[in-house]
Amino acid sequence: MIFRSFVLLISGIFFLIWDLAETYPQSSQNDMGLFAQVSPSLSLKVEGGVNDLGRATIITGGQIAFGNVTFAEPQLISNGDAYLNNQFRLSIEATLKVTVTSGGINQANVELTRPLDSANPFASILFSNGTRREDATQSVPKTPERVLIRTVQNGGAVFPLRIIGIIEPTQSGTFSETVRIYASATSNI
Amino acid sequence: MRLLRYFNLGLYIVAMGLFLCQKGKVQAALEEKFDLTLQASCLPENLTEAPSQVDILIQFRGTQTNPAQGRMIESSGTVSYPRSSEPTLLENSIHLSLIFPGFKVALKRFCTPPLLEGQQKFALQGKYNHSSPHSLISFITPSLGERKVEQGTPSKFCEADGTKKGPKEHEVEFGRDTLNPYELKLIRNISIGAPMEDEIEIGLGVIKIDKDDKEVP
Repeated sequence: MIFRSFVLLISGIFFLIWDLAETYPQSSQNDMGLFAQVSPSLSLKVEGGVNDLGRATIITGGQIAFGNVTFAEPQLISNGDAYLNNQFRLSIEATLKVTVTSGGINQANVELTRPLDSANPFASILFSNGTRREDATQSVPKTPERVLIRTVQNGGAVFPLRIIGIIEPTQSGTFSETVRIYASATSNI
Repeated sequence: MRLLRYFNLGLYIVAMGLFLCQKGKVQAALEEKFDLTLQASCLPENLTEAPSQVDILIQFRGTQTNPAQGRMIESSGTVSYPRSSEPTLLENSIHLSLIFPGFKVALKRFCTPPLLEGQQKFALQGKYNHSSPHSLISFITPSLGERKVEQGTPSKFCEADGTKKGPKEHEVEFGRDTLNPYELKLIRNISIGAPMEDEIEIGLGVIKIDKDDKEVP
């Protein structure tokens, strides 16, 4: 009985020290010590990119301001890319570079959703993992649904992402809509 | 002894609690998100100049076998009809909103507001090269979205008996002040044994009119 108590006491102390080491990793001067391990980490970075036609997208403070666009001359858009698609809807595209950095996890899922209702939303929001207009697209669902766009292995990845807002000929005005990108660990190592 | 047993239990609970807290903290921290807001303005445009000529070539090709075997397939302006084994009526809707992107048009005869002086009206000119003497292609009632319009008299490109076969021009006028896209519906009546290849060319022009609805040169 005394021995069992001793073992449990030691176990409790072990977990306590482990917890402290995780909570204050910088306080440890010896990262190679007994309790040093890779802290599970995950970060997500989204930057503007360039599509295969040389159209650049600029993100300012989490916003992509495309400016004015017309059906007659969509190529005159000031940011990103715009054109009439085969259904004669106006496609407004942002080309992004997504960087996921991870450590201490098996893999991470990168997902998309449309979290907010806008007063004047786009007819639909699509995405693709390519940088060409011809790349196949999928619809971005509204929250709480999410669509998986990429599974990233431990260590991270950099990949292109194209977000496309569709405007129907019957629509007009100022369009504003938010797309939320999630990166979440599926399990720890 | 009993006290020692409770002490053991307490230690065990503390240890498990620490372990679970640690796991929970890791799980909670491993999700990142990024909100990206897309903003664009698209205002209705005034069409002050004639749009560049738009030519649509619609080709009908098919072989008659069993009508139950398929549906019409449209791709890149080509309409493929299903195979059918008996005379059948096939139809296909072709949306022409490309002609006035940002505008919605309708057949003029269905427009309720009259055109004013200086306003433009649009002419849709079709030329039908007809190779089958047993076919009929006609414009029928356009469906203007949710807005129903009265039935118009079909404008026949060619009579069913083939007496007017050969190149034939047809003109339909459009007004610019209706609000819904124009849908052109083409119906083809197919007879057994008839050759099945026709072409319809549709071109768009803009015509200025005066107060008397006369064309301004």
